[in-house]
Amino acid sequence: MAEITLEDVTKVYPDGTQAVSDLALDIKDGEFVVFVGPSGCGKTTALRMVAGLEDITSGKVMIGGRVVNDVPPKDRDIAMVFQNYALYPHMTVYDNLAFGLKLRRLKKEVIDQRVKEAARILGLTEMLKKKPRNLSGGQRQRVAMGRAIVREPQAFLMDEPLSNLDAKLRVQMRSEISRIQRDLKVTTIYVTHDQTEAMTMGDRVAVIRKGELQQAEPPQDLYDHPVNLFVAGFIGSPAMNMVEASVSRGDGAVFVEFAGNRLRVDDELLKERPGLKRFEGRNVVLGIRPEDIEDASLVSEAPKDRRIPATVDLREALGSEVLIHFRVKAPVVLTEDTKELAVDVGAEALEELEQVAQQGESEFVAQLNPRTRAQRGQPIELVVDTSRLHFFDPETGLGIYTD
Amino acid sequence: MAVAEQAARYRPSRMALLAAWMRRHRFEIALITPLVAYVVVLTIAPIIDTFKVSFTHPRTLAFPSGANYQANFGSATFREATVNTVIVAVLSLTLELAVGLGVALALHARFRGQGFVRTVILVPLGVPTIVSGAIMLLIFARSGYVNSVLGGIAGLISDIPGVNWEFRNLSWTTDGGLRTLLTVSIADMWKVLPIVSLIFLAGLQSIPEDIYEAADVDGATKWQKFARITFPLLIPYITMALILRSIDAFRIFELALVLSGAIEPVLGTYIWDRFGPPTNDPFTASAAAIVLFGIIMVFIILYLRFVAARTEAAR
Repeated sequence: MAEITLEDVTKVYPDGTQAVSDLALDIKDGEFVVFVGPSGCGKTTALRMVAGLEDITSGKVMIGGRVVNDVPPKDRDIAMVFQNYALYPHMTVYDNLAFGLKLRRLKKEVIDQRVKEAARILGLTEMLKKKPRNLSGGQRQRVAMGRAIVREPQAFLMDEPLSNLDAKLRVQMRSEISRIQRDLKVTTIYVTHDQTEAMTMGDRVAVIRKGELQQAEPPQDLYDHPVNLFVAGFIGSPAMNMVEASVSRGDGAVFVEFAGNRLRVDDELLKERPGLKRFEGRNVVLGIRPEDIEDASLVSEAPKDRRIPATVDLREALGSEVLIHFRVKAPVVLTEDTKELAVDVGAEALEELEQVAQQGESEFVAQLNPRTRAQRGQPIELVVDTSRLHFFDPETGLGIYTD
Repeated sequence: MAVAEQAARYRPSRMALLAAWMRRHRFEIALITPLVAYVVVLTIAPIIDTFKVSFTHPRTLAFPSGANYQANFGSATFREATVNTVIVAVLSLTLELAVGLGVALALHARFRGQGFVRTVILVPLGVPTIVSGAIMLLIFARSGYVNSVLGGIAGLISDIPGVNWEFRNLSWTTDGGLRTLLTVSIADMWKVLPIVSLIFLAGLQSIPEDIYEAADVDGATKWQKFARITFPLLIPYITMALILRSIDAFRIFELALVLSGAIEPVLGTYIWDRFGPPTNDPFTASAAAIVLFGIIMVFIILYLRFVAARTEAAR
């Protein structure tokens, strides 16, 4: 087991594309770090550079204090789990697990013991004699995990290992991988584009955008204090609502205004984000998470300066909560960050975003208590938790925190 | 009750059943008829006919008679042709598979001008066998390309003090013996290398790249990756190439005719000699053809028995 250090790691492909730019990150011994970001953001390339499957253009990768830039993968003492599992199709499960150990000339008894132990941990004991093609997707995934476990490496590198499984199995394997990692205490880098996986599994989550590290922090910190619009929009589902708003001072308090709504910024929040003062009389990007909006009729004594009226466009009942979609008559935030987030959802999402922007409106989602009586097409009064608002500089997209 | 009795009494004739069946499957029958006719008229009938002729006495025309087989096995030329056929087949199969694999591995690697090289490799496919035989005659002639290259090498080696290799031009095609058979095998290899390499190349390209990456991480060297991953995963393709080629290899004819002529007969040229003028003997020719047919069948059965079964089990 070892710590992994990335020092300004950069990858430029021969055609000039810069896949990873100056990635710097210290991963502690035994830590579980998740690289997350939209597809094509360079997270897999970064992982492959740690594995040694991709040359490093500049910068340093260190595993256990040793610079491994020029060390071939087999001598880096790492194990990797591939997205498509990359099992050896002509070998049995047993041989798939034992292959790396055999190549390392371990004693037969040691190999046998390790393979059987890994099979026990993963529930593969009954399948040791089967070939990969006779296994289900979930079982193949376990074999891929097992191949990493038996090696007892310094680090696990996992490249979207659950992306080929169906939703239910993915949730199960998610907790299983977390449990195994915690038991074995092996330093792990886990690549995913699924922010739920990132949030639930990582000790720390590193959000990467266009090859650049945006923020690497424990999941809750990332969620509560996103460093910029991109992280704010990427982490959280449904995504944070964002709208342009103006900041003003009056009656000894600070207000944000958008589309005729005037919200009073909570005093506690103001203390937490003193930088907001700089924006008095100017525009900011206001971010409100869907769960920080509630049906006013379900909240006792909600003052007027926390309320916003809306008309329900769409109601999605999920049992434990009700999502309502509504439009706000204020321009949508159209920056590189938000465009990129839309592209990640799909080409249609970007089109829709631009279309809504032209109409000078923004699409909002609120996550309400299921007791709400919100109906499609009906007006509704909503309450915003003004102690949990987010503010971003519209110029730079950076979160507004300190002075 | 009455209905059941009636039903029991009414029994359609077999012909009526057949006619009904044919009416139901009119379209299917129409589709397969040409193929069935083709196979029966052009494959099965000639085989049966050859079989019959081979067991017919050449003078009394009595059937069955083993006279033709006796005559063949009594002939030194026939025995030599049989042995030569097996030697050429084994030699050329070995060469084709080994060199074909090498070429495929080279083509599989990424390099500049890959498309051009792949096209060039295909050229022998477009050359008629008889022409490729003529090309080989020039290459292997006494004052041909092979001899001059070997002479050059001999000259270079002899420059080393204490070494003296006096190279005399070899008569590859006319000396007879193993050297001539090797020449025929090399000619055959040249001709079929494209097919074999393409089969192997398809096999190599079917192996996903990430398996090699997994092996890299697992600690495999280049050789270990070849021996433990590439080769085992290529076995289905190797067997495919083997069965396709082995049947052809025993039937070698044109190249042997052009290159070794009567000096080193193979079964193909022996049959041709017996059948054509001046011998004009379809009887021993048929018997020899049946022997060749038998040898090919033995190899196919051996193949199915051992190689194909094992490959199936290995999956």
